[in-house]
Formats: sequence, structure tokens, C-alpha cells
Amino acid sequence: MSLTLKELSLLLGVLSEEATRTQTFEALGYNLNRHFSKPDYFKVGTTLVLLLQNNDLLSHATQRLAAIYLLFDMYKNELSTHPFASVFVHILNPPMNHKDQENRFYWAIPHISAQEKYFLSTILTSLSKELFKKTAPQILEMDPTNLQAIDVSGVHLSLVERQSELPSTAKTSIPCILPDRDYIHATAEQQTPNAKLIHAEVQKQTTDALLTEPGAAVERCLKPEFIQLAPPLHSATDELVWMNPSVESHEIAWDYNMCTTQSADTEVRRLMAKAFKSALSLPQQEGLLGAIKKDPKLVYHIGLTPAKLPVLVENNPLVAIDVLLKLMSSSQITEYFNVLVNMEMSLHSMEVVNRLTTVVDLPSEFIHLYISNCITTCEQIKEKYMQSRLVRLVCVFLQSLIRNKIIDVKDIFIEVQAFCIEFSRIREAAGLFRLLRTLDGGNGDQANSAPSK
Amino acid sequence: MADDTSTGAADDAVDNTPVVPAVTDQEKDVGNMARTEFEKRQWDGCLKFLDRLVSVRPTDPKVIHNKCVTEYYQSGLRSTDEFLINLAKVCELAQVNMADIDSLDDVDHCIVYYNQAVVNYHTRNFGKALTITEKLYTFLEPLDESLSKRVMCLLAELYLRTLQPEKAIAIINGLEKVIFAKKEGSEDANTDNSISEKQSELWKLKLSQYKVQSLLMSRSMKYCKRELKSVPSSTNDQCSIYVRANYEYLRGNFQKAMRILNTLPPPSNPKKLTDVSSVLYYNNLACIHMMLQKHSLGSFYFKKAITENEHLGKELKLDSLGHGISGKPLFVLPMSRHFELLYNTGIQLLHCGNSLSAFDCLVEAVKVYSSNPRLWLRLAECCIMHHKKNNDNDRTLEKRLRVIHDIIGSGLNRKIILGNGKGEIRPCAESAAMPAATLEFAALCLTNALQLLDNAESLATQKLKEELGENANSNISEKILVPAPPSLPMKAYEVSQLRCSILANSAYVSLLLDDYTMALQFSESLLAQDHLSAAHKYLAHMYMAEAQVYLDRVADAIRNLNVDGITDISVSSPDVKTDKIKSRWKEQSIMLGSLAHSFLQTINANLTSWIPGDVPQAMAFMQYNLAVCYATRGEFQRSGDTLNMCLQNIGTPLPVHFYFLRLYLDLVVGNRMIAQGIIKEHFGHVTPNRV
Repeated sequence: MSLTLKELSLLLGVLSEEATRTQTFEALGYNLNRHFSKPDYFKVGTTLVLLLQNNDLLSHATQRLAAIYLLFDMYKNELSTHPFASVFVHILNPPMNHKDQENRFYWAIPHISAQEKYFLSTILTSLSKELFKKTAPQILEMDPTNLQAIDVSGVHLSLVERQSELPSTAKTSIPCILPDRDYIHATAEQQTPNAKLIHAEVQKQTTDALLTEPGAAVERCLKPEFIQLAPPLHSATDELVWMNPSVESHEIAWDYNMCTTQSADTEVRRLMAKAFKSALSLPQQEGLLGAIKKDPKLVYHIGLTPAKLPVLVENNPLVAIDVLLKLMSSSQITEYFNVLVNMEMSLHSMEVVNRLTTVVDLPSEFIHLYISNCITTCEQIKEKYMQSRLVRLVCVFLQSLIRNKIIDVKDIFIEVQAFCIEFSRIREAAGLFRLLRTLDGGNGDQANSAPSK
Repeated sequence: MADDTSTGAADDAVDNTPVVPAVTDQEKDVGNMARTEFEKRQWDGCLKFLDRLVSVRPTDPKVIHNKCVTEYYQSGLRSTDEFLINLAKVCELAQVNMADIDSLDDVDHCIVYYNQAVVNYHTRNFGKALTITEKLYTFLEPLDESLSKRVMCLLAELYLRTLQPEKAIAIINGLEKVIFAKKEGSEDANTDNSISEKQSELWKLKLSQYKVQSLLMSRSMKYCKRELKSVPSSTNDQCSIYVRANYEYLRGNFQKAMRILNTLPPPSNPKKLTDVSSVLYYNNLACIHMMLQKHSLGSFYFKKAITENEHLGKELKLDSLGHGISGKPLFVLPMSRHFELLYNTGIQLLHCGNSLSAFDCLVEAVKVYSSNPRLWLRLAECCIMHHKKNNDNDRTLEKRLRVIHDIIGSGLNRKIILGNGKGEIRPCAESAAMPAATLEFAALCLTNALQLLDNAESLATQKLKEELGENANSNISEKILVPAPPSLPMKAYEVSQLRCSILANSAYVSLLLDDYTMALQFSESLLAQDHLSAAHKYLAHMYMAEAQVYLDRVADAIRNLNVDGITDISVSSPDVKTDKIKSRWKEQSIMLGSLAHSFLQTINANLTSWIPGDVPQAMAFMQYNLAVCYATRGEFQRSGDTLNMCLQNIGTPLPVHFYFLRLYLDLVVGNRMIAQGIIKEHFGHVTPNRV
């Protein structure tokens, strides 16, 4: 935000006493443009304002007038949004709430003469470039009595309008550079400080320090600031980790099943392995089921898993039924059911489900799922012969379920009815349909005594 | 028949089911002898029998498995790496895919998985151990009884270690049923009554200890007390002592907790530790001291616990000769206690004001416990504290010296450069996501904290609703437990307090980062919270006012700064004067009403000491900010009057802001002399100006 040391010396070169005394305003503006381009203007502008505010740093009247001109010149093509418009208004209408000089604003730009005022208000309001061709001394030496006051209220108004849109926090800052008190009197009494008191060397050092160092005074300001109270630390009484030892030592375990299996058990395993492949002979089946019946825990050790259930069902439905009955208390039984419901529909799977329904109470969702599965399978089969065969099977299966009151007809009525109508050409389907109608019409016992037409 | 077997075997090979030749009677006898030797812990004898079995049954996974187990025991449970490799070989033999727990479907393979889970448990790989054990739990019925009990114990322990007390309770209740059903059965059979009696006593103790730990974890102190009574006070085993101390600690009886903890035999020879108990002991002692506000003792013991922990870790590395976890008995593997200790230490350091060290600890801990919203808040608090140690920081000499930023030039060109309160222009952080104690990082932490807290809370509510069904809607907020690993799960009131703290900190950080819109939003939602502490309410108004001023809503801001509305400034929320703290005072029979109350407040205030400490001071701070609002609006006279009002109560030395505003007010209206006077009076040392 601040100028570099080199840029500052270039700027001060443009504003040197010598130059401002001899060159026309136009020439000064041209010189500035040689060294600085548009992006630098704002930095140059703030620097100029600071120099104007501290008249000990810009000691000659010609320099100050030149500075005012350059400030104007940088943004002369966009006067309505001139970022330093407030400075001009301020210069033309200096704040004076206290008459006594003790209380003057340290940050106010010192008063300017009537000639300077005339110059500034002219360039602000007219497009005439006449005055630009003059030099600063020429302006300062004009006769003040001949100058008519020029109305700048337009500029003032537009500024007020623009400023009213700014948040109040943007308008509260004041400069943080406070000139030391000793020289207040001196500066107040005479417009320019006594030139004898100024040492060029000190002046240069001060200017450099104020304007170029990182975080220099030109970038800072004083404004009302809130006290920001940090919130208290979150209080959580049970936050620290208390450590308790473990109750058990959790040791590595020995396998107590090592070498405990009887030779009979091995035989059972062998038979099971065979049962997954092909149908067992009757004596083999009896041997297997007998062994499983003897030892209730054996069923868990025969190598059956849910994934292997379908092959067992297809090859040895009777074995599958007995094994499943033994597994009823296991937590895995639902997994077995899931596999059973979702396996491909066949005579054997239907037999297994049918037998299971007569022996144990299967969950009704499971049976419903299985029925829907059967129905969709029938509908999807392309080959006519196979289809009729399966439909017959399903019908017989459903009739058996209904007659044995294993399912409530109401729950599946619509689905089964649609199924019967679709396959009404098949005799069993028609029979099932009639059965449904009697149950639906007469509700149970009455239906049997009064068969429909 | 022989032909049958061979074809069967061939088929089996195709089916990938290994078939082991049948066990002969002789082999069975050898197996039994091996087992007896194992039970007598005669590893050498046991191995002799096992070797005989291996020679006749080289493909029997069970035999190989037991051989691995015995060899592992023979090494004193030191060769953990080797054991794991051998287990993998057993799996290969049994054609088990150890990596895929879902493929477990044969009951016979459970034992291998169990041992795997045990190793994972001891190496604190709780997540993996838990997946294995939960799967094993589905095979509970077919398992033989000793293994099924072991599985249940391990599962309960793992639920405790992963801070899921409700699940642990369910398992423990199941275990109780199994054990006592069995006991009745054995009494009927009239076999070995004395032994079963002794064993059932042992089980009873274990079950109570599990129950107490779960109840402590869900902080059901009433049930816990009842359960503790069933643990005979004479039992001097470590676990009971720790649990009892934990109970008193959670109830706030810190002295009593310390007394109980000190009945433990002190770690006799720290160089020959056989377990991690010294780490636990020092850690718990540190917790107690921290709660008693003895911070230096607290950090001393935390340091000691960390040293012990590292000591164990170091020995481990030295012995293992490059192997990961071998060389130390399995039960001593200390593994990640490290991060729990770091967490504790970080919290402790934060409370003693050592923000940077605390940040370093917690930033390590957050790698492991990244789901804990409170931990993210703590990280943000570290950053904030690093930025501003406490609210008295504005009064320090260093800050006050900043009123006069610099003196430039000399003679005629002499300039006084006034400073500003907000401090120097902050260096831009390279990236906010870099973990460093910056305000930008704090803002990220707070976003995480709020997000995590909302997610965790809605998840917990949803889970609870599912468990309880529709009927218990009213009870939900009381029963809810939101996880905050590694600490105990948070109860509903803790969650709402945490949310308030996160919002307050978010509003504060937003202000510091000049994000006034967000600051306004955060303070608005802070005010909308249910269980707002008086301090948070006060702060919400203060933050909101500042944000409103910067959003050019000065009138709203002035309305927010209602100085007379402050009646209370206590840090704890109204319903935190909970049963726990109340019961503490009841027990210690300090029943002098207001005295107890004020005492309680000082205790609370001390753990998180905060400025402003009392209502008049809080009012003064608010008056100051009100003066700023007036000044911003250009009402300099009114601002000056308000500023003078706060002068008396704001406390000395005055906060640096006071001087800034005073100077501003004088300079802005041109009271040059007065401003000069203030500078001369307070900062005369830097301004050798003459009048």
C-alpha cells in the first residue's frame, strides 16, 4: 500500500521546490505520469494527502499547490467518482468548530489562501485548461481582490451523496500521525513553518519513515475499536480419559475339538460331502440321519453352510428337511431360509418347503416370499411343456397350503387369483381358482358345504 | 468302501473341502493327553504329544493349530509375529480365507478366528477384533461352552473399549443367563459342586465388574452404585479398585477416588513391569489432580504415564529385532494408549494456558479421534488462546505500550504515531488447512466440530428411536449418548453445552477474521440455543453488536448492548449444576446454602477461569462497547460519557482499548490539549514533550 523508497524520491522530485516554482501545472502532471501509471495513483494520492496534512514536510506554498493539482490531475477524467473529492471539499470548507487555535485539528490540511481556493474551485468546476498553463507562483501572486468566488456546492453535494452510502464504520477513522506539541504554535501562527527551523536531512528522514516502511504510518489510522472478549474454555467435567484395566485377560484358546471326532463322525462328514454331489442310497441316508439324530451338536460340524443348501435340496431333499429341522434353534436359520426362498424353484425345493410348513411354524413373510417367487418363475418360463408342469406343481402346493391352513388366503388372494386366471387353461389352476372362490364367498366352513356353480 | 472314500476325496478336492482322515482311538488318547498337559501349562510335555499327532495327522488343521498355540505359550506369548504367520498357515490348511470374515461359515473354523481376534484385541486393533467377534457371536449356539463364554467376554470387553456401553450390557446379560443356566444344570447333576461354586463366585465378580464398567460408561450412577455393592469391598483385585475409584471420580469425589486408588500396591519395580498398570495408575492420578486444579501435579503424572508408556514401547522395539510386535508378552503390548495419553495431556496443557504445546498434542490425537467434535473445538481453543492468552491480555504492559506505536523525526518534524488495538497486520497464513495455531485453522476446526456434532447427534437420536420404538419419544433426550472418543460418550446436556461453546467460538473467530455476516449468524443461533449459560448469552449479545456495527446496523447494535440486562455471568449452564455436583456437596455436608453455591461457582470458575469475573465488570465491558457504537455514530459526547461510566468497574490496569477510544474521542473533536495530557500522563516515558 505504501510507495517504495525509490518511488517516493521520484514523487518528491516532481514536487521539488525548484520544479514547482518554474514548471507549469501541465508539465508537472506530465512528469508525474512519466513515473507513475494508473495502478499507482491511489498510493501516490494517499502520499500527497499525508504530505498536505503535515505542512512541515512540504514546506513551500508552491509545493502544496502543486500537490493539490496533482491530486486533482490523476483522476481528472472521472471527477464524479474522484477518490479524493473529500480532500478538496475539506480544503475549500475547512472545519473550524473552535475559534482558539489550541484546539485545531491536527489532521486538518492547513488553510489555503484565496488564490489557491480560486484555483482549486476553478479546475474542479470548469473544463477550461487555461490555468494549467500557468505556474504555481503565478497563481499565488494573483490579486485576491479580483477573484470572484466560484460555487462548488455541486461537487460538495455529490460527495455527500456518495458518502451517505458508505457504512458508518468506513467514516470513523482519523490519521494516527500526531505532530509534536512544541511546534503547534509556530505552525498555527504562520501558514508556513519557519523555514529556518527545517533541516532538509531530518525532513527527508521523517518523510521516508512515515511513507515507505512496511506498515508505515500512512497505512494506519485511529478508529474506535471494540473489546473482543474471548469465550471461556469449554467446561466438560468428564472429558479426560480414565483408564480401567480389563476384567478378563482374554487368552489364546486351545481347540478342544482336536482329535475328538469319532470315526462315525468322519463317516457322517463323508456322507454329507457325497450328499452335496448326488442322491444318497437309502441305507446311506438312514445312516446319516441316524447319526445326526443321536448328537444334536453334530449337525453344526457336518460341513453344511447356507451356500451349500441348494445343492443338498436338489440332491437329497429328505436329508435337507431333517438337517434344517435340527438347525431350527440356530441363529443362522434365517440365513438358510433366505437361501431356500431365493433358490431356483423346483419339485424338490417345493417338497422341502411343504414338509417344513407341516412340521414347524415358518415365518409367514417367508412363505409369501416363496409363493411370489414360484409365481414369477411360472410366468417367466418360455417352454410350454415345462410351464404347465410347474404350474400344476404350484397349484397342488398352494392347495395343500390352503387346505392345511398354513397360510391365510386373504393375504395372497389377489396375487394367486391373477395367477389362476392367467393359467386357467390348466386343469389344476381352474381347481385352485374354484377353491379360492368358495373360500372367498362362504368364508371357511360354509364354503365347503355350498360349492359354487 | 475304500473306493468310495477315494472318489469322495477326489470330489472334495474339487469342492475345496479338505477331508481329514478319521481319528483312531489311539490318536484320540494322545490328543487327550496333550490337552491335559496344556491345561497343566506343561508346554514341553504338551508339545511332545502334539508332535506325535502331527507326524500321523500332518494335514489336520486342528492339530497344527493347537501346536501353534502351545508354541506361542511356550515363548511366553512373545513371538506374536510368528504366531500370526502360523495361524495363517493353519488357515491355508483348512482353506479358510482369514481376510474375509464373511466367508466364515464352518463352526470348526471359529477357534482360529477367535485367536485372531484375541491378538487384535491385545494389539488394540479394536475395530478388526470387533468385526471378527461380532461374526463369531452369530455362531454362539454350536460353539462349545468354554469358547462361547470366551467369545461373549471378548465381545463385551470390545464394546467397552469402543465406548458402546449399551451393547456391552446386552452381551453381559446374555452371558449371565448362559452361566447361571448352566450352574443350575450342574447342581442337578450333582457333580463337582465345590468347584462350580467357586467358579460361579468368580464369574459373579467378573460379571459385576463388567456391569459396573458399562454403567460408569453410560454414567448411570444410581444403578452403578447398586451394582458396586455386589462387588465385595474386601476383594483387593486391581480391577475392583480401579472401578471403585472411577465411580468416585465420576461423582466428583476426587479425594476419595485418590484414596481408593492409593490402596493399590505401588508399582514395585518400574523396570520389571508385567503389565501396563503403572500407565493406568499414573494417568488416573493425573486426571484426579487436574480436576482438583493441581495442574503441576497433574502434568507431572501425565508425563510419568507417557514415560511409562514409551518405556514399554521402547523395550518392545529393542527386543523384537525388526519384527513388529514380538518380543513382549502379548498382554503388555501397550500400543495406542499413546493417543489417549496425548489427548489427556493436551486438554491438561490447554487448561494451564500452554496453548502451543496443547495444540501439538491434540493435533496428533485428532489423527486418531477425528470424529470427536469436542476435540476439534479444543483445537480451535488452542488457536484462540495462542492468539489471545486470556481477556486480561489487553491490559498487559506490552499491549499498553502499543498505544504509542512510534516516534518519528525530531525537532520540527517530530511525529507521534498512535497505534491501533487490533494489533499488527497479521501475516497471511500459507494455507488455512495447514495445521498451525492460526485463527484460519481455528475456523476450519470449528466448522468440523459443528458438522460432526450435528451428524453424531442425529445419528444417535435415530438409533435410539429405532431401539425404543415410537412410545418413548419423551425420554429420548435423556437417554441419548453421543460418542466422543476417547472420552466417555456425551449426554444430552453435554451435547447442548458443547454446541453453545462451538457457536460462541465460531462467532468470536469470525469477528477476528472480519467475517461479520457469519459472526452475526453464529451469535444469532447461539442465542437460539436452549441451555445457554449466562456467559454465552452475554457474549452472544456482545459479538452480535460488533457484527451489526460493521454491517452498518448501529441502532440494532445499541439495542443489543443492554447493560442493565446482565444479571448473571456464570460460565456453567443453568442445568449443569447437575445431580453430580449437587451430590458432591450433599455428601461433604457443606449445606450452608449460598456459601455452597458460591463455593461451587468458584470451583467452576477456577477450572475454566474467565474474565469478566463478575457482573459489574461484565457491565463495564459492555458499556465500553456501547461507547464504541456511539462514537461510530458520531455521538462523541455521549460516547465519552459512557466511557467514563465504565472506567470504575472495568478493572485495572485499564485495557488498552480504553486509551485508544479516549484519545480518539478527544482528537476527533479537536481537544488536542486533553489528548496531549493523556499521552503525557500515561505514556510520558516515550514522549519527552515539554509543555
